[in-house]
Amino acid sequence: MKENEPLLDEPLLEVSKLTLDYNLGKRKMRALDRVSFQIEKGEIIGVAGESGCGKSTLGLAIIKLLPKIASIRRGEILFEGQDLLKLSEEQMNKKIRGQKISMIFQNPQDALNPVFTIEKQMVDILKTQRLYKNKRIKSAKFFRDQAIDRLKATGIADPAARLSNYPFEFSGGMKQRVMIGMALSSGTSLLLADEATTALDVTIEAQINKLIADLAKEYKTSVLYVSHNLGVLAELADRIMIMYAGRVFEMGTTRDVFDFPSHPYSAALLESMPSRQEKGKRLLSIPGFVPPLDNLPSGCSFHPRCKFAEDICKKEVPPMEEVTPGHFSACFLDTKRGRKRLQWI
Amino acid sequence: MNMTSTDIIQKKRSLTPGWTQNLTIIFKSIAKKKGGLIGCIFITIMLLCAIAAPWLAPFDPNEQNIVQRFAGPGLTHLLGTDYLGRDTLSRIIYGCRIAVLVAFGAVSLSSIFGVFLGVVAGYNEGKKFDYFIIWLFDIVRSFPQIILALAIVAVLGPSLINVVVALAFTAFPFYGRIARAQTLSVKETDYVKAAKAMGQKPIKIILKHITPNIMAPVIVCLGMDMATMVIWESGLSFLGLGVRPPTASWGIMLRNGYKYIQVSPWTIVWPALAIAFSMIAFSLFSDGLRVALDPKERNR
Amino acid sequence: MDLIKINNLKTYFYQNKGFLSKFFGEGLKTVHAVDDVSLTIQKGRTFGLVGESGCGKSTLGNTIFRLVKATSGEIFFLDKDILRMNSADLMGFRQDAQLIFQDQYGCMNPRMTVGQIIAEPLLMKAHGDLDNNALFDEVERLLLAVNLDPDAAVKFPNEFSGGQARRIGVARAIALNPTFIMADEPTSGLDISTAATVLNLMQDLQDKMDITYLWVSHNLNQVKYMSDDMAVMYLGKIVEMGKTKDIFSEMAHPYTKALISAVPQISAEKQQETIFLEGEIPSPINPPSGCRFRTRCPMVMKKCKTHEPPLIDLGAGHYCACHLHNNN
Repeated sequence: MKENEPLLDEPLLEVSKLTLDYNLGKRKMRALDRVSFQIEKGEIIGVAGESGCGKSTLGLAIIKLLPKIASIRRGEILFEGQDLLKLSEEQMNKKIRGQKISMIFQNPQDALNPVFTIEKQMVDILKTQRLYKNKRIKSAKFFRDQAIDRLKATGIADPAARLSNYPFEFSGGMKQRVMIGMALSSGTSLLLADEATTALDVTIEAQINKLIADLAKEYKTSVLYVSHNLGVLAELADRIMIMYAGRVFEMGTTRDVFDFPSHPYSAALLESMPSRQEKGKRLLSIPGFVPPLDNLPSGCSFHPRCKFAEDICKKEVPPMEEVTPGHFSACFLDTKRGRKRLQWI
Repeated sequence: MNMTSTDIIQKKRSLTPGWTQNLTIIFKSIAKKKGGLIGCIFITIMLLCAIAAPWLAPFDPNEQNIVQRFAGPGLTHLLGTDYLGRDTLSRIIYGCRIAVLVAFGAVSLSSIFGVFLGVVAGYNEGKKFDYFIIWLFDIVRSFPQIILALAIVAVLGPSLINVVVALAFTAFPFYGRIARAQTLSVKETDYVKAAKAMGQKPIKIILKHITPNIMAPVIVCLGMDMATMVIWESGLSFLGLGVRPPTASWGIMLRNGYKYIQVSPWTIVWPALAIAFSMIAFSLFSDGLRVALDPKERNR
Repeated sequence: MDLIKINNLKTYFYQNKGFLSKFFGEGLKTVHAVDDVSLTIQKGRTFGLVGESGCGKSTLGNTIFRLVKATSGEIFFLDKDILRMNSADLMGFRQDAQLIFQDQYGCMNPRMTVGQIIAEPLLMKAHGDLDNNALFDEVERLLLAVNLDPDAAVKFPNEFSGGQARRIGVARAIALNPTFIMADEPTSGLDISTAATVLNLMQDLQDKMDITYLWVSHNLNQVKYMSDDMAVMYLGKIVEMGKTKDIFSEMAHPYTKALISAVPQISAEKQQETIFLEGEIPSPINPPSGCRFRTRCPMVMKKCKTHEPPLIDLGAGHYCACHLHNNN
């Protein structure tokens, strides 16, 4: 039973103009710059981008697990109407983390303690989750049963026996299932997944992503799925957000963004992929390099590398504009083009 | 460092930054941290004393002046005199020479010998030679260090060189063990595999790839060891089994001062402080050196 | 022309346990990393090797370069067996065949400068006869060939980005004008655009220098793009082999089919119904009897448990090891 049932037309998560710096001595890296987006209840939104674009920082910012050197300059993160940035650490821990908002990471083996059994670790987490606060439960059996249920839900065979295993006895895919079991339950409103399947084999990756999609649908959980693998996002996400050097460049439904990329960077990324090109033909190699976050170019941060750059791009930061309904892009080119496909090569 | 193509043409073309450039970078890195800087300064003072002792010492360390025995710190004898009227300051400065010789000598000998054996053993892991070397290390280590050092000096006779040899012999297994353990992990790295795949000879692999990459813990050990060696030398000399009198060594000064502690405590305080000073110097310096030699830390 | 011909290669790893383990504990375990693999790599072409964890593709590569001891079998490089070469021929092979490692930083000695790293193979070949200037010229030329600034030669590997480090590795690999290069996950850890640069570079080098590539990767889209021929491995065995376009169009083996269907695709037309395989990949210590894939195969038959399917020629050099195509 959720305490504050959100209104039907209020988004589950609304991030407004979130701006975040990493302070490294004298250098200030602007990891996120005026990032704004919304997640509706039950939708899966994919965040794509290359190294340094801020996608991982975004996830950590929402669940407030940023390192000490990070400082939030501006913005709000409204979760079910409440600004998470204003909550204290204690309140985050008691009500939000692990309960309403959970996170899973890339390397499940790093998340599991090798000297404790799976049962001990799962039960420890379940005990701290206040989902059972109404019942005066002290019995170990109750929590063990809960753990078995969670493992069953994630498709692990013979869950009761596997509880007494140690992490090294599980394969990578199974460890990730355990993490998903711990993170995702009927009470979870938002799951943050940071490269959750990047370290897994292809067939296992497909299984895990299907598991995430199925469970999210069953529990009506929204998912913020961060990945550099555009294929995974294309098959999993309802909407896509493309980030570059801390800014959001493009946002829209999956088909809109991938079939009709509106921002030159998105188009360039797609044309760099081997799946888009025939054997023997060159891939697009975007000239230049990603700018350092403490020394971003003026105006649009992509202009030094952009084929379509014009004078205005060097002077002003392009605002996010609606190209077609629901499809937004931060580029001065767009307003004129509408639905035409952008191509570099 | 940005070398433009004109630099490259005009200066001697090289694939590595020149050794003077290297040294300046290393010393700058050490000096960046306060500990390293202090260590550097202290060691410089010690080296200065050791090398320039004849010019720095105000008196001849062996010159006796019975009239002036047990003098406290004063204007002529800055640190006072010992039971034979010899100037303490001069003896400390000459003692520095002994300390530096023993420290560098024993540590160099033991580390070179130990690391060499350890690396070769590690590279040939599992083979008979490896087992033999480990056995050798264990045998030497199973003797309490002091007994072993005493025994060797007793057999060879007390003198500076014998002290150095004895100390080196007790210490080499420690370096060997460290070197071997590091070698075991370094030889599994991709760059060693790459060298093997290129057909590089084992000796070259050991020299170029393995040895430079195992040195970090060895260098830390070196620094600590140098401090320890000074203590050992003092200990052995204190027991009468180190350097022979009348050579001025801090250990001998302790031995002499110990007898007359109630008469003039100064004679024991100065050598003790000198020993402490050298320990601090070596420890701080070696830690700074380890950080400075790591290429990954260079650009911080 | 056959550049590499592998015949019945087996690489087993034996665990070193004390002799008491024969009586107590689980006994001696053998990892059948590469189990009776035969394939041919044609000169001037790219041969892709795909498979998931435990399939043996990395071990196969390591065996070719003699970084790991083969248990039995033959690997012919042109007309000589690599595993039984004398030291002179072996030296020649080692200079003609190079490796690009998966870990782009780990394959470089962190205490050597980039210039020294690239110069190492050059110095070996010339037995140290090259004078300083000629060496420096060569290093400069190689750095430019991979689109890196020549002043990188005095820097250390940790000062470079992932893509640049990868290119340094490539520069070292092409230093001796090799005929054959094995690239082990060459774009792992790289961003999409950096990976594109590396792929373009490697294609250019292949065109210019007529290099034969053995492309080991788990990224099927990349293998489809880069390779002419390929082989799919599962638990130490080759399950399907042939021209890349044939394999992708026909997908004769159920594992190949499941593997390709599992690859997530961006464009809607390419997205396939994923065939989900049951269970986990079995351990290579005790592989299943008969066909190793039978524990997860959606088309499993009774025969699969008892009879191991041989590699059958389906025509036009397309091989498959599956009873579905075995009409005997």
